[in-house]
Amino acid sequence: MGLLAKLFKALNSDSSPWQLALGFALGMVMGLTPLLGLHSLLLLFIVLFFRVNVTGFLVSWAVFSLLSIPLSMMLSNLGEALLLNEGLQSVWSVLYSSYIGQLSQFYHTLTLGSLLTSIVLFPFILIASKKLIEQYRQRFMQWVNQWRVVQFIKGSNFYQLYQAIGS
Amino acid sequence: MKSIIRLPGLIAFFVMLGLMAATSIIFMDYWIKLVAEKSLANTTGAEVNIASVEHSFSPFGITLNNIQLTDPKAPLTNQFEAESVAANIDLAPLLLRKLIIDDLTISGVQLGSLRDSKGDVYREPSEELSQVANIFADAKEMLSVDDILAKSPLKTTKAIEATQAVYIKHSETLQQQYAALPAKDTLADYQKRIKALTETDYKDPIKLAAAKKEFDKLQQEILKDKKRLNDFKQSVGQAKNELSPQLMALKVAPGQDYEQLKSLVAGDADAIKDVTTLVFGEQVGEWSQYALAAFDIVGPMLKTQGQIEEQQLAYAGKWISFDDTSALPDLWIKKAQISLQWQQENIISHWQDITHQHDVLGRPTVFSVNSSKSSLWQSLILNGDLWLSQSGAKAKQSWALSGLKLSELNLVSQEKLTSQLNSGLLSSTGKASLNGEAVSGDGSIDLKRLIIKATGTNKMTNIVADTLNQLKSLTINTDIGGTIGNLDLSFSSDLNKQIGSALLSNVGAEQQTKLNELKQKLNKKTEGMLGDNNHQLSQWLVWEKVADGDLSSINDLLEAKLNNVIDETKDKLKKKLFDKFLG
Repeated sequence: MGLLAKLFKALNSDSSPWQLALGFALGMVMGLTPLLGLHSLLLLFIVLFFRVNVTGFLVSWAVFSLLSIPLSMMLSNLGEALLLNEGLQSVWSVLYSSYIGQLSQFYHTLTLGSLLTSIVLFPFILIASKKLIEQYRQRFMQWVNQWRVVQFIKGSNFYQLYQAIGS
Repeated sequence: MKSIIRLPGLIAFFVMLGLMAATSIIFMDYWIKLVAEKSLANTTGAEVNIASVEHSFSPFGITLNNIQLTDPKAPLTNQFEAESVAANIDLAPLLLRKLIIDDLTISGVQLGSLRDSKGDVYREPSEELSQVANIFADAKEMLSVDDILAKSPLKTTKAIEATQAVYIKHSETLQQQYAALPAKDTLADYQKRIKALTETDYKDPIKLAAAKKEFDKLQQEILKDKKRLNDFKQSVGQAKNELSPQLMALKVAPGQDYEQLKSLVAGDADAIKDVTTLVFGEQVGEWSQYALAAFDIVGPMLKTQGQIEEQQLAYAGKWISFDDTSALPDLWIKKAQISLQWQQENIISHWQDITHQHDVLGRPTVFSVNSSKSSLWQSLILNGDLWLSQSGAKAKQSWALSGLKLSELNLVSQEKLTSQLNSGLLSSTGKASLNGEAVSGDGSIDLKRLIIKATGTNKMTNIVADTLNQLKSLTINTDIGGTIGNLDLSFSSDLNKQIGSALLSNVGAEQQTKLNELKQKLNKKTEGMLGDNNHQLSQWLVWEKVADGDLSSINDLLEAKLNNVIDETKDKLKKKLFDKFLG
């Protein structure tokens, strides 16, 4: 409820569409990839240090975490195919012997498959999110604000509290 | 325009990192304890207890205190117990998933120590029959001589079978060959025809030429018969050579069987079958456990590899390994010192280069024990090395222990027989090797200055007890076999013979009658066979003699020549021609 209220607040606020879109895109990477890994630490650093919308990041992380469950086998197979590819063996061997390679855990099939997939998807999700946020603000924001459920959320203590903190 | 960075976020990031690090450090000891207990329990299949874990950062090291590994075969005892295991670990290679331990010290190791409480067993060990179960039970009903003969693997039976086999193998061939030999009439006919051809006065050259042709044909026939005789002689010689030693073996087999079986008639066969193992097996097995402790350490290392690979096939991706160029094995203990506690003595073993990837390291694990300063023994030397690779394990070790003082050792504690070694001196040498999972080797254990106190409760066990009480020295030979984690030790000595002799000197009237019956029945088994086969051999010898005579006659026949007659006729013709020319 609180997270949803924050999302509505962010969508309706004057936050830059890029900030929100970056939050969604980075949340997608976080959600599709395994939690334990160097990439997760890097994502957290980016989200916290740069002005990325945290609410968008958290919502996207939750949604893509759920999506990753049925996709995990496919992502793992992709990673395995890449790791076992004859032409890439020399690259993997060099990486395997390096500290950064070991820390990245690239030799884990699901990590590699999901990370590469999410990196490929990243620009598409980023741009699509930005467009959707812009479209939402231009065409639907006023209409959505009239929904009873939205008015109920806006009237809740949570929303009032976030509004107060945010202003 | 707002800045694209936010400093509070950076602070939050580092606070979060700090919290994670602090949590790891606070709970590190507990997590290590949990992980170590779980992994060791997976390996051994029984409860593992670690009292506490400590760590230090400079140098980075971990110490596990009071480790107890429950013996799954006997949950009230520990398979392995150590006061502490301390390891100094290189941190940098850990990032490359390489566990490099500079120095490992395992102190206060005890094998087979008692536990405070029964340990849980997670994986039931395979059943092993107790070697000492049901020995010297109440005497069974005495077997009849016929039963003993039927159940025992007799040399007599084997010798009879072997003799029959030789007879069957040659008999038919020899009979056929003998039947094909030239008869006496044939030889007489040859002689008559040769005489007729050589003694005729040939005036007509045409008749002479015909006689020459017939003579040549006759010679060919005689040569064929000569070949038959030679072949027959060769076959007889071969049969004789094969049958003679079998007949010799057949003659001595009943005596050998009697020697083997007489102790069975005199006493309980099962009880004296392997008395060395029954009396000394348990104790020697325990000593061997110490001597071969190195192989027990290798075992879990080999088995753990397989288990890790199985776990990697689980859901949520796989870990793929690549040839790394770091030239470091995944696990490498550069130097280790293991202190094994035995009675009041500490046996310290030194290890170098412990790993399971010797191909990567390029040198074997070497271990040694060299202890000469002890109140319990004069000297103890143990050396060995091992090499584990993808193709399997190879290891070897040798030991030499001299002058180990033994005292108050319980040997057998059975209802019918109790035996205790009050004092003695033990010396042992031996070697063992490991190839793949198969262990092989041998050793000898010399026991001297023995003082054994044994007590029996029936006639049989009284004799065994008396023999043990009189025993002053004994050499036990040990054969080591089996596989890692499931060693198969067998023991032999002349104790069985000593007890067998003691039993024979105490036979009663009934047993003496049986012994006589045994001797008689064994001799009877061979009597017929020896008679038949001797007759057969005699027959073959007669045939050989006949063949010799015939061969001699044939050789004489072949010496006869028609050339003289031809030459004489030629001379006569020449003379006639000269007379006509010269007028």
